[in-house]
Amino acid sequence: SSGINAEWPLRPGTGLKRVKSDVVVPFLKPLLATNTFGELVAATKVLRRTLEETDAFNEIVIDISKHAPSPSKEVVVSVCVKENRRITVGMTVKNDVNSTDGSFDVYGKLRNLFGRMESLSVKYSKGTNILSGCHVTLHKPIFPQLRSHVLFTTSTEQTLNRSSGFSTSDYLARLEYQFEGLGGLHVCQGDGLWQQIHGSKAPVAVREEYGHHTKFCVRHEYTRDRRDDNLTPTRGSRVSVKSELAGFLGDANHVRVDGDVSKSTRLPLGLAATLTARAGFIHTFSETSRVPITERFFCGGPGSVRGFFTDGVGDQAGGRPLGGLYHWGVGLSLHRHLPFSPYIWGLGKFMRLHGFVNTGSLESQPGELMAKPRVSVGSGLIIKVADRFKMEINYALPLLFAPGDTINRGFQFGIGINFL
Amino acid sequence: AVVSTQSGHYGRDPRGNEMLHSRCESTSMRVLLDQHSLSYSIDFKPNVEYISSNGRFPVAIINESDIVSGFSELVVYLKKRGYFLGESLSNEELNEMETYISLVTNRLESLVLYTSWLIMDNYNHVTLPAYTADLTWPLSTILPFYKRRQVLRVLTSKGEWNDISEEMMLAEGRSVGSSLAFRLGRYDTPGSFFRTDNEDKVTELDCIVFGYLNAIFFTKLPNYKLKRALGQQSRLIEFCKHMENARGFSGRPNQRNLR
Repeated sequence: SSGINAEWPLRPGTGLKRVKSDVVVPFLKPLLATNTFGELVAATKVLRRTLEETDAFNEIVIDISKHAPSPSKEVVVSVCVKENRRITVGMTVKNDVNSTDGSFDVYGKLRNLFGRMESLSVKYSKGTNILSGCHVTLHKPIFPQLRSHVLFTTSTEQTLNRSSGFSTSDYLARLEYQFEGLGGLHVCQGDGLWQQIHGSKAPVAVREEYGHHTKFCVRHEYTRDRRDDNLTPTRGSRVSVKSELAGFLGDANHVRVDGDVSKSTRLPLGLAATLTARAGFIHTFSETSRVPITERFFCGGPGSVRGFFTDGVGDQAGGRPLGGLYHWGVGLSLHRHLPFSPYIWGLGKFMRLHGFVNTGSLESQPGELMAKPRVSVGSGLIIKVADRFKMEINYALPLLFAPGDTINRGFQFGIGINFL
Repeated sequence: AVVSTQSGHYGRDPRGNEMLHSRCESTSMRVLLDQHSLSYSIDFKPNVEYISSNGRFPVAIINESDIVSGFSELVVYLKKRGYFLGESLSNEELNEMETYISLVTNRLESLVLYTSWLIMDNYNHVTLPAYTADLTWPLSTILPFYKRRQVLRVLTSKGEWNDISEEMMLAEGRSVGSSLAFRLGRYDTPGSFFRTDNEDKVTELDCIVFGYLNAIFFTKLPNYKLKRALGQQSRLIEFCKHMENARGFSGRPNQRNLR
């Protein structure tokens, strides 16, 4: 040790009322591993973030002070917290990360059920593709050194797929474990899903998907986001890889992999470039097992290859997309602040101009994946909304498309977080 | 224009796992299409009940665009396109034909549903294995429970079936059988329900009655009381034999049509 000892006076009453002190101690242990004052300061920042993520506290005060005068150069780290309210009721509006769908949620949360930072939340959702949904989630942070959480969720949802014209009724039980590692966030999930696909007026090819099926699967998702801004990044990269293995029980019997990579960099003249690439495949383990339409990939639309209607790339039946088992997409976007007056009535700082080139494809056979690429170009306006999601108003021109694709030449509007 | 059922899809596997009710409807539909000399092929889909627009199955998928569910819808569909076996009947005979078709689709169908789903011997040994043939666990446990409850709800919604028992079912079966036999007894030979110029005139009523009776008589069930109740009417048995022998009606799927 270089001579600085860090210790903390963890006295009863330092803000802990319902939360038991032995639950908090593991969070503080990384402070002991520091050797320099700089490391100690950095460790306290991580500690604050870790305690905030538990959602058990809403005020966290970490004070580093020296006993003066003291020849031993002792440092005292004081951690004072104020526990969050036991019961919280609220509303949120959120946008699905990987699509342009949004939802309005009403939730109630009960914290510190047994004094070990557990929480029980009940959420009711309604949105553009969620007709109604109810989720009950039990959450518990564990292994503070990994900043990990365990969640158990049971939910029922009625969803509507507007582009394909079917609805689903889902009953889901999910066990989830989140932890940090390799510079990113790992999410491991085990799902048991009972889903019924139904609807009224839809083409025969879509109606033939109707019925009940079950899926029991394990899933791993790794996400690392080092961008400076998640909506209009100018620097950094984001990587997301999802892998799913289904087949232990039930009807689903496949492996599904889906990846998304984006890299942003600054260019002269205030420009920034973002290159995004996506790809994915589904492989079934037996020739007789089918992939239901709800599991397939879709391509096209304001958040995907622009210049096409939502899910307008690939096989269609009666104007309704059927999805595919293999997909890829690449997008290059150049964007910058509005010219001349970036602060138009104060709103200009939320807007950016951009031009883009998108290409991609969606097929059911791997050999045909590169045979018919779709290409579109265009330009438009990006508007950031409350730093939560962004809107795009674009003029898109599809240059290459296949017979059967539903193209949308002209103005296109989209809301979401991750665009191609 | 010619209506060609280039791909007619029927519910459940006709090669042995078919439920009684599905076999009644599918035989009726096939006989009707044969009478109009319309080509079709048979395919089985485990989710045909959900493909159906009204929950009735089998379904006929015509020209990859139209879905017709059940015998009654098929009759209406073909009639709109000029295919109607009873067009030479008088208005009075047409009303009578619709009344007897309604007798089959309401009362005889209820009897078939009751004997398939609510008589435990038949349910456990025939209906349940056929219904769950393509289902994996846990759906193979959950869905038959809901389906059986749905059948019970449908039957009890019909006033006279409020308090269902086997004795009621047998009395109802004898009543339906005697009504159909009475209509057939109008002529010397029970060749068909209607005649034109002293010749048997095959109509939609003949198709649906043959379809149901053939399926009931030839489907092996542990509890065959319904078959016995209907079989008491010898005219019905003669009608079925006449349809098979003289007209080539077949209660079994033509092997060359199976995909």
